[in-house]
Amino acid sequence: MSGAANPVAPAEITIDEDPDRLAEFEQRIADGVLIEPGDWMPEAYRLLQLRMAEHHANSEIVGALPEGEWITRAPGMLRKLALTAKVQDEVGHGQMLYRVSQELGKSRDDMLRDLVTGKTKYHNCFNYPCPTWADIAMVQWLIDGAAIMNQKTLADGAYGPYVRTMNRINMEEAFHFKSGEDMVLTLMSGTKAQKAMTQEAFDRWWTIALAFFGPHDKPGAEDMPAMRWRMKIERNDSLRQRFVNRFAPAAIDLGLVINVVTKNEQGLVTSATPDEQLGVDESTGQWSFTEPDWDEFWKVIRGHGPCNAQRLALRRFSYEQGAWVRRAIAHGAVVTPPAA
Amino acid sequence: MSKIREQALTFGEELPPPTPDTMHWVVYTCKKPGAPFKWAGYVDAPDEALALQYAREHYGLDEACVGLITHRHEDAIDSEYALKNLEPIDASGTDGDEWTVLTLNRRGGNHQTAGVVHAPNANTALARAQASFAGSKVCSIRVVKSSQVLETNEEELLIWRHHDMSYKLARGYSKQVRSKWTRIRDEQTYEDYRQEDIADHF
Amino acid sequence: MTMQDMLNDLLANVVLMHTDDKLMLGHMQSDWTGLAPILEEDIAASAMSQDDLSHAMILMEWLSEKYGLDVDSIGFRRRAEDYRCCDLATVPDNFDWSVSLVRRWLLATFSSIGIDRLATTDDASLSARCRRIQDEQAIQLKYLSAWMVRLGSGTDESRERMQTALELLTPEAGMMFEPPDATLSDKDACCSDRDDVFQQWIEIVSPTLRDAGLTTTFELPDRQATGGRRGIHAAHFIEQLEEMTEVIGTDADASW
Repeated sequence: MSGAANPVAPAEITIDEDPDRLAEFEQRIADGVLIEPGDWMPEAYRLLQLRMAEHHANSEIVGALPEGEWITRAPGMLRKLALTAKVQDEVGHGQMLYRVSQELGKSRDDMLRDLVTGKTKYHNCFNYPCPTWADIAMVQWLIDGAAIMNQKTLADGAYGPYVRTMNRINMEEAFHFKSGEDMVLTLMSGTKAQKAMTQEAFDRWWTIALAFFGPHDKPGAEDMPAMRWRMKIERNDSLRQRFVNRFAPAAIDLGLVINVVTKNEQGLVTSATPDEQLGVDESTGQWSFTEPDWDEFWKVIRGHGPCNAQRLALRRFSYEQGAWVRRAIAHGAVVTPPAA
Repeated sequence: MSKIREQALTFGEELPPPTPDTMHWVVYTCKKPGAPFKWAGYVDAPDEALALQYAREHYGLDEACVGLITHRHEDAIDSEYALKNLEPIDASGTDGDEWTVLTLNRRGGNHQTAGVVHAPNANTALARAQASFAGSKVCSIRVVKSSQVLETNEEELLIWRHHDMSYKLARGYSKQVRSKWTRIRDEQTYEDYRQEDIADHF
Repeated sequence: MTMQDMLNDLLANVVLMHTDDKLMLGHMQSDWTGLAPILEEDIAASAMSQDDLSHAMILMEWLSEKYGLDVDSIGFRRRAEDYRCCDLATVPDNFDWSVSLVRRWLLATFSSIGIDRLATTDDASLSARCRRIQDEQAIQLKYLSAWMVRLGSGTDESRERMQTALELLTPEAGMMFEPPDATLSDKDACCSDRDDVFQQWIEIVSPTLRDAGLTTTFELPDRQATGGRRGIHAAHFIEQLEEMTEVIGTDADASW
């Protein structure tokens, strides 16, 4: 799944380029012409695109961890195979996105090191726990559903290598989403205990999914570099609204209740009451809903979520444990620096 | 979490020393015999053997695949990515090495194999490739010396597996998802009806 | 036909032995997905753990047809003593790649012999299934052998780690050859001809070990020694089985 909806506003961007050249570049993007390797690009564009691809890659790699925890316990052969293949896909997406990032000037090893030392970030939604099997169903249904919604827009972006990769990733995300939908349907067609477990998981993940798209857009977001350069295509609030329009009625059809919840430090729900804001305007098809808790969102982003430390520790463990293998295969091999 | 993942994780103060990245390879896959090889993705690997193995086990298993080719990123020479389609030019000759020609139909699209040309150097290969393969829909041409293109196919070793892999494809779920939705929505409708029935009559 | 009929049948026991090796190996190795030393290797190893699980499934489908049991009942709902895997499959690797690799290689070489032999049985359905597995087994064997050599002859550090892992697992390897049923004589079913299978296995593993620069001496355990193949399992198998069935075991009738 993806974390490409970078929830953190990029740091100050200085654009120091020849104005004519920059204007020509921006016109090209406005005309819908994609940027390909070898084309001139502003340095700020390269940096921003690198930051975005690297964040996305990090998110795939860390995103493999919460679901990976459940491979050993998947109930049944097909679920076990599907979950393994799903987590494997995330690793594959990470691998491809690291390659896109390498071409923008940073080595994979540097990116992996920056990830495990906390210098770079990954998507916030992976800092929450998956205490039951139903959480795995919810992650695949809601979070992968949100990711597809976002990544479909990103496939309309302006940077050729990223667009190519996004198209390929979206093809695989369709499997993740369908498999998640099948798990949710199976559980909600099941026993009382299964339904209760699924409702609890839904309570944990609904607000995380709403926050998935990032905070409210700043005024004038369309004119900021990320959107002007078509790295980001659709506003966070617009994506979130489309998500609710798609998933709220589906959740209700499944027999789930959309609740407003409070959570403890471990990310577990301490209270849940039906969302009174929830409703649909029949004339427009737009759903209204209660916002996620943005204070909690910022707290988790700053590193104080239920699982931040655990995720980074396991990633670092993997990086350290595997170092001897990487050393052994690099032995005597010709090594090329990343193409800047 | 899997019990083994739960163990207390301990680290040194410092990360192990960095390991430099290995070589970058570009991978193209072929879905059925005779079809062109289309861009699939990339792998990093220190040598040819591992590049091929990694390519097979990743891109060879994304969808049905009967063969794949890979080459080092730096062995590819791309023409400029043109803003308009390339026009065929006048260039011919059969001297020199064989070069594999890949074409890109549109920016943001995927390279795919078009054929081969012979040429004494890369620039001539690009020109001869443009003469032979540019047409209505080519915006960039890539040439790679054929001796630097590695290939693997099903005859040598199976790529896409014999066993049923629909568990990792969206279409493996479509039918059952549809029927489960129908059943759950029918039950819901029945429940609504029953509730109304009760409200109306009692 | 019942679970007990299956467990009483000699051929079914031989099939279960390979099924359970692959099931538990696939279970152990799939847990590495997302944590392997190199991203590309992560993907490749995960693909092969899916192959192992799928092979187990192909064999379980044969048992399923024959005994009218569903695949997940065979895979997940037997009593611990009714599993026929050897202990090697579930020795904890603690996310040490050398242990994972040596284990997979030892078992893959053994499985390839067993599957080759089962592919020649008179049961047409079983032999056809095994022929489907053979091609995929060949991928694994080639892959794993290449890695044994690569890391065995890589750096001093990697050679040492591989040698240590090999020494750790060598004592377990002999019990791969335990017949799954005490009544199997040397002439019975395809995989029970213990000494012969062992000789064949040694011929496959020796050149790879030589090329890898690794040394060990494998020995067949005493004929009376009983282990996993006859349901006498190590504690680590029981732990893995409990983990594997944690969700499915919460409700025997629910579908997941």
